[in-house]
Amino acid sequence: MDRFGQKVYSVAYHFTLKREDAEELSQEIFLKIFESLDRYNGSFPLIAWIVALARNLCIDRYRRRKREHSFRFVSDDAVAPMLRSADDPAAEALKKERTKILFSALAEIPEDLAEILVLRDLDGLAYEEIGKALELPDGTVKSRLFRARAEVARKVRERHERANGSVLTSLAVAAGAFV
Amino acid sequence: MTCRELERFFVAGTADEEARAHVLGCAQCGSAARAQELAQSLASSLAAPAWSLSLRDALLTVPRRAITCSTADAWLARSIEGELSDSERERLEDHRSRCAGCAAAAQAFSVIDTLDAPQPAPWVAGRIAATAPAKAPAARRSRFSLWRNPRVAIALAYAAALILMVAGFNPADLARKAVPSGLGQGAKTVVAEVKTSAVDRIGAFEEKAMRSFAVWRGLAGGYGRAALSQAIQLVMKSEPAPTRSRSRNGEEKGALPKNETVIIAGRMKAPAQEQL
Repeated sequence: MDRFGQKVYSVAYHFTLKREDAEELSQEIFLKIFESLDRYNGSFPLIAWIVALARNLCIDRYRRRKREHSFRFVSDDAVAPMLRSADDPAAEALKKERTKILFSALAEIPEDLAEILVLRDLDGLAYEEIGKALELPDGTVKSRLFRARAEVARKVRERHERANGSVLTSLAVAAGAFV
Repeated sequence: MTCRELERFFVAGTADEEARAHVLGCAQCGSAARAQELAQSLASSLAAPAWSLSLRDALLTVPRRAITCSTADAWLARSIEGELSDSERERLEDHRSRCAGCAAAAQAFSVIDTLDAPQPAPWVAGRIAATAPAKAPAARRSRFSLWRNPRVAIALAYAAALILMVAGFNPADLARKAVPSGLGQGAKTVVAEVKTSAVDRIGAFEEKAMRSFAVWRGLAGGYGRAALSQAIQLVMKSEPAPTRSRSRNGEEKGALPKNETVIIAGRMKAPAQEQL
């Protein structure tokens, strides 16, 4: 229960970015899992099956949320549960900013790319598990993941060029990456 | 033209050394590699959001609240019979609220109660009334109509016979006793003669039949033996004669040795050389 509960909550949270919504969605996902247990035939990993169920419920919420208000604005509260506590307040602020930029960029790229990046880089699922959950071959999963990362990086760069702010500059320095 | 070699390496899962070597020589792929690293570093530094204990407790109650679709089917059948408890009905309703398939199944059953019996067209009643035979006036039943019923008569006869037997009355015994005592001396003599004559006739017929049977049995036995003998002879005759072929040394194949005698049908036959 603990393993799958944490995983389901994590998936739900990354889709909703709101604690109350994620908890409600997690319960809904768990109910769906138990109600559909007689349909699980064991042909692929249980976690992939759970993610597939969760994804279907999450996508509805995700789309609704995207329609209701702009997903581009990510609050501090939304990213706080994902931040590990750091002794240095400046480092914590930087990390918070990075996380907000990441989720803003994810909201701007196509859904089919964003969800694969979330499942792989945030939820830590294996390529095979993602492939089973999304009914995609491994090659397609990898290809989409590559494009998703490239798109996220491009969005971050565009933001940086628009804002040209000190925070993003320091972010680039911290990441040791893009020009 | 964009170089997609790095993506190809990534999808194919090629060793990092090979990809790195290509990135060093390709500016486009170098930029793409840095973008990949940036996106990965942004995501990988994040922790999984911690779930609360209240959520954990709530999730632990899910197995007690949730029912599967197959259970919902069984409970739907029971609910139609009114056999569900309140908590079961609540769980079934809760399941239906989330499961479109089970909700549709429940609706299909609920429709049954709302259906009316199909109404025939207005002209059907008139047509039926017209085709129905006119009802005959009820015949007045006579006082003895019940006794004329064959079933009733048979039942009464059986009942009467049963009563007589229970009372010890034997009709056969009555007839045997009644006949001699009721007849005169002359009649008795006639009866005795008739009985003697009948016994003699039966005895003569029996003797004649036995004789005829003995004759037929003898004839059948004789004919049977003759037929059997005939059949054996026919079988013996029908065997094919051995084919004779000339052997290399001049002797006939299948011919008997010269110094042996042959017994055929009980008769001794000397070899051909001795006869010559």
